[in-house]
Amino acid sequence: MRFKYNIFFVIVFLLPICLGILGVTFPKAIDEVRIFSTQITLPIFKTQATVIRWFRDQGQHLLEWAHLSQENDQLKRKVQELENELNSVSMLKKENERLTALLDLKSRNTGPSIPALVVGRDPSNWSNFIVIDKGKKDKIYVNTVLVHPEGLVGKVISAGKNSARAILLTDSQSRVSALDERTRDVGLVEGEGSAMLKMTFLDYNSQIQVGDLIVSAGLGGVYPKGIPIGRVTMVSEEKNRLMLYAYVKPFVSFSKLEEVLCVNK
Amino acid sequence: MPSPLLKERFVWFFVFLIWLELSFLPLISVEWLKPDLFAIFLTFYAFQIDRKHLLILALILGLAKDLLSNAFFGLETICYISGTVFLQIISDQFDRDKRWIQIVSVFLFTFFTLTMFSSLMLLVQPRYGITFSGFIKICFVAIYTMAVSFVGFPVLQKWVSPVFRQKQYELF
Repeated sequence: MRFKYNIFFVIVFLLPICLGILGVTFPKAIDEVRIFSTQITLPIFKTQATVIRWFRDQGQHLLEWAHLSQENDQLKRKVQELENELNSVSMLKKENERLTALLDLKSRNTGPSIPALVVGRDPSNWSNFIVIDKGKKDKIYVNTVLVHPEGLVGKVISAGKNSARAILLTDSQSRVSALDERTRDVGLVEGEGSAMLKMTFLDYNSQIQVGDLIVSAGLGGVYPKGIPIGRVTMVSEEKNRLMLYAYVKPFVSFSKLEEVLCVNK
Repeated sequence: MPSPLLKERFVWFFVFLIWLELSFLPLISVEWLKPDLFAIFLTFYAFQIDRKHLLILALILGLAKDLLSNAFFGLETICYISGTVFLQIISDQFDRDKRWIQIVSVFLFTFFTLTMFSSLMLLVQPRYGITFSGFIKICFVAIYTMAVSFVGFPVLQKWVSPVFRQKQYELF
């Protein structure tokens, strides 16, 4: 009996070690298994997310009901203002097109964007990823970029037929080339597994300041250029005193993400 | 050997627990701090129900977490299994019916598994090893899990305990 228990004990300990070795040897196979598990659970979590969103929307409509007529008047005024602005913007647009053509600059080439619902989140305390309800069937592939009206979210790391797993900017394995919009200093924005991002490899003579806007630099070939990431909250020098680093507060509230836009380059 | 009915209950309860971990956890997470619901369940099971199947439970829950997370595959399982052995040692040493001992054990179990995970990460991917901020995060997660267990244990006691307890017959 005792011998049997010891054998069982050894098996229980050896099994995860074998799985770990399997994961190192065949990372693709593990990815496939993970995406398969996501596919299985997708219908449940997609239905759940849709129902929750419907109830939340209904609740919001009820709360907004009282302010609708007041809001309508405000919006009418706003439309009038915007129409006036539009006229001047169209003039500027034409001028911009003319100048761009003169400089022979290529416009940013991004494909059509596909909206997706966030149906799952990482249960672990160490990695940050989400599951979306769109997959290869909807032309979502590995490295498809996820954006939100507020800014950059992350990129797809594995895609199944109807779902995909995407790494968030805050994950400790996430890297994005970024630049300071004011000073044009380039650095690397890294996730730290917390709510803040760290911008490293900044030139020691960089004029980066607290409050500066950080956008994607488009140097890595995955993320398009110019997508807002966040604002600088702290600047300091590295231990080696050769470079600076900065902490960036992302615009996107990753823990409250419900919908994202998927963009293929 | 557990009865077929008990086995079926186990399966359904696991499905429910994994659903709870994926659906309920984002609602109660504070920024990036997520309480470990599996740790609460395993501690409760070790102290209140039965310790015979604890390693198997840890194996299944660890594998489920490995599948659902994005970390190095197998690490969560190793940590849960080691944590369970640690939990068995604690439950052998102290009075298993005292609630405060159970709650402190949740803290210790969570702290142990998270520290072990960070240490193993250091071996697997040296760049993501344990740091001071990581250590603070571990402490906060363990405290948060302990706080959730204040509510979790009475709920488990009321709803889960009767599901798993097998009928016992008096001999005399």
